[in-house]
Amino acid sequence: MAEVKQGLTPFQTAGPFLSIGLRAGQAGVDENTAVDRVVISGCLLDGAREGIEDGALEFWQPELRAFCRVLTGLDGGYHVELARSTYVAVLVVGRGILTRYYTRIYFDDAPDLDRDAVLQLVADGRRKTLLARKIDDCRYHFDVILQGADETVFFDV
Amino acid sequence: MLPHTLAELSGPVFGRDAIGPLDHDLTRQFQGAPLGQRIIIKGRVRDEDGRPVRNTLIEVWQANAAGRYRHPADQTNAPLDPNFAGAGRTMTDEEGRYCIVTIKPGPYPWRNHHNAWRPAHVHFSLFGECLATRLVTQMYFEGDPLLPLDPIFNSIPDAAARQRLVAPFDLSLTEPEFAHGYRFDIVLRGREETPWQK
Repeated sequence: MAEVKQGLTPFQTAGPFLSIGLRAGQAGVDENTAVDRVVISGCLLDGAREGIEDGALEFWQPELRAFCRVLTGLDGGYHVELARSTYVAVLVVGRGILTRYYTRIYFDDAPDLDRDAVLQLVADGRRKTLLARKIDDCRYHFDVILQGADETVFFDV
Repeated sequence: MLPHTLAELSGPVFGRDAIGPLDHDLTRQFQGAPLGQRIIIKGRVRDEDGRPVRNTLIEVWQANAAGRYRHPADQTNAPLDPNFAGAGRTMTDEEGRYCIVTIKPGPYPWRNHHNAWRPAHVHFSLFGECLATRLVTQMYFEGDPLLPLDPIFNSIPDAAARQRLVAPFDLSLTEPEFAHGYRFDIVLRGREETPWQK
């Protein structure tokens, strides 16, 4: 059966003023549950390793149905507090980004990382770009690097 | 290429209580009315198969009628409007329809090249049903002479795709003595679409 698909509305850049319209916030987060919470912090960086100060990072945890958006600040810095989950899906929104920049954050101290189906798809040498580095029991570090030698792996989705 | 797992086929659901009653109306967020041409933007959000995308969050932002954004990084030689912040949000209804009331933004000088002006535009952000349907785009206005000159608009190689971003004036959406109507329909990816099946 032939289907007539409608043409997709194309992407355009979010521009440098996205913080006017894309407010930081969260949805589906239950603050009252006694869940193990962690803070992930880092920087959103471009190909020259310069911070992207007018970007947004959106975090989706399907296991918890929890969503959180943060805006990057000085030097592209961000931090987000989340309940711990196996992984965190991340979308990057920013000036000059013309498609879905989608990646995942895994925690480098998590067990069974080598059995994750998605991590297995990533070349050995680049897998580390998806691992948040443990700083202490509840803090991790994760940079999102859009281009260049240490570029974060982004998935077509 | 990532096979779609739970993460990609699911996405945040925002309850209607996330939206205030006047969030969709950028002309009524301050004491007075903003300067400029009041417009009503209406449309339907559907997926590629024509199904309505229901209860999805739409966030919009734009410059004021003079072409100035209410943002510290915008120091354009144009006045700020004390009655306009330029941000709004709404949700689609059970038929995928939405409505935004605002003022028509002015073109915005952006120094990308000599005498560079962005055509008048409203930024749109939508989630759709899941991560894979997320869209960030811009709505333009039919008849804008700056469109053929804009590198961002023309970065879309396909002419038909470009035209989907140009909202036509619509007399049927226009309210007498009140506001001009523009129609902007949006088509998101289908939820089950996996690119390699195309």
